[in-house]
Amino acid sequence: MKLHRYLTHFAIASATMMVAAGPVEAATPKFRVGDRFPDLTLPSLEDGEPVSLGVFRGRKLVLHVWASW
Amino acid sequence: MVGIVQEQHPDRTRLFMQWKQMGWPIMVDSLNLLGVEVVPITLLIDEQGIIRFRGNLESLDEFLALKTDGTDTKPQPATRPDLEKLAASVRSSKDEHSDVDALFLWGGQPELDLAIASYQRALEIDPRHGPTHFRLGVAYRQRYDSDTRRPDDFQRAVEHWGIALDINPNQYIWRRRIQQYGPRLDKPYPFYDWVETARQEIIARGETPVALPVEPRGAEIASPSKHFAGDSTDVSSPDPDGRIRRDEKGFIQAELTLVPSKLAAGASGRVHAVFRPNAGIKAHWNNEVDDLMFWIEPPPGWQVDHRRLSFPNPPQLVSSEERRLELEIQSPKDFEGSVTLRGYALYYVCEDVRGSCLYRRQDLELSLDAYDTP
Repeated sequence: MKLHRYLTHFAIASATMMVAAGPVEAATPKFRVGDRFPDLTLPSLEDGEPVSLGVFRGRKLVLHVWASW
Repeated sequence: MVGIVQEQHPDRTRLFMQWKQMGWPIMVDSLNLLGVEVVPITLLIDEQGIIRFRGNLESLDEFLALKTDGTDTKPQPATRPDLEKLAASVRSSKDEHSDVDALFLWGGQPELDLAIASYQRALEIDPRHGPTHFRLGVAYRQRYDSDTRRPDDFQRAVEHWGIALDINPNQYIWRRRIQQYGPRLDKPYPFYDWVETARQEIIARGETPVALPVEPRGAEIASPSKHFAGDSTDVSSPDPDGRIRRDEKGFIQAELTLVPSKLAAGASGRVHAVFRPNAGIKAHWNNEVDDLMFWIEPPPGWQVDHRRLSFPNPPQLVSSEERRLELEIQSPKDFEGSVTLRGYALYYVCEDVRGSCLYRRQDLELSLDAYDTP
């Protein structure tokens, strides 16, 4: 149920972002299927505290790289 | 579900999330450490951190049904690095980019000067390293938006973003960073048009919208194509002979920035003019009289969309806010070398709470340099 709720939000947001982002260039060769995604540690939007993608290891993850513009 | 955003001003993402009532975790990658050249990118990543699908959610059911062997699936918690060790490493190192990036991310405002100096040092060793130019630009712009700004921080940011883009003209994220502050595009791009709608809908829900320290403006808001008045004669210089007394005490600190930092022949640029009361002498605006006025004298052959700009006084009698004005310019088709854009501002300013209020003029100029193809 939680996943469904997130994906509903995601679908709405993606629709908005695709309009905002407009056409994009051809897919970049970075992050191909079969690659390991780096355990990058970045500040959380919420409070600036470190968040690493490694913390989600052991769970399936939908990762969306985007911008609000 | 996790997001990574490519933003100079992450508060805008916070507002977007509030508007769309999205609660999933977001990581902020203002330095573009991911190295992505485009957005959006959607990846489906399995329990071991391996990318299984890319590009859309059509494969979601197949992805969720996937079984992995369960090895290497222990969560790896994130920890905040030891800043003292990081700063010491950055001071002693000559080319360790990742330490400088970490210092920028986790050191915050107190370490921003050191991060900027370290990026500069890295560029002395490798002057054609595009990501370092981009990240130095991000750091300069961040300092510009802070209380520790130094003169020309914004201009330095734009210069380094421009160099980064020269090195890799296909980097869409870097290109957008310049465009959002630059002249309006021939085909207006709605970077942040959603902001106003978002605020209205959030307020209608009875919530308070996330505050934005830096409001979207200029090219960040889609608008009709640029219009240049040329040598319009319907306005005239309010002080053609320069008789108004100059602001010799520096009541108002003014700064002009050109985006992009260099212009090709026949190209457009955006001039950002910022006026800040000098807090050191407790200067503040006097709002009982005429608005702040900025008069522009374009060089021969140049066009501007405005010769005269003004900033409307707020309702309170005195105030000390930063005032921003922007205009667009276009170089002549045979532009080469360098010329100077001149102008002046007229304003009413008071020395301190009980001091006298004065009418002053400040002369301003901005070097306009031709873009040389790299």
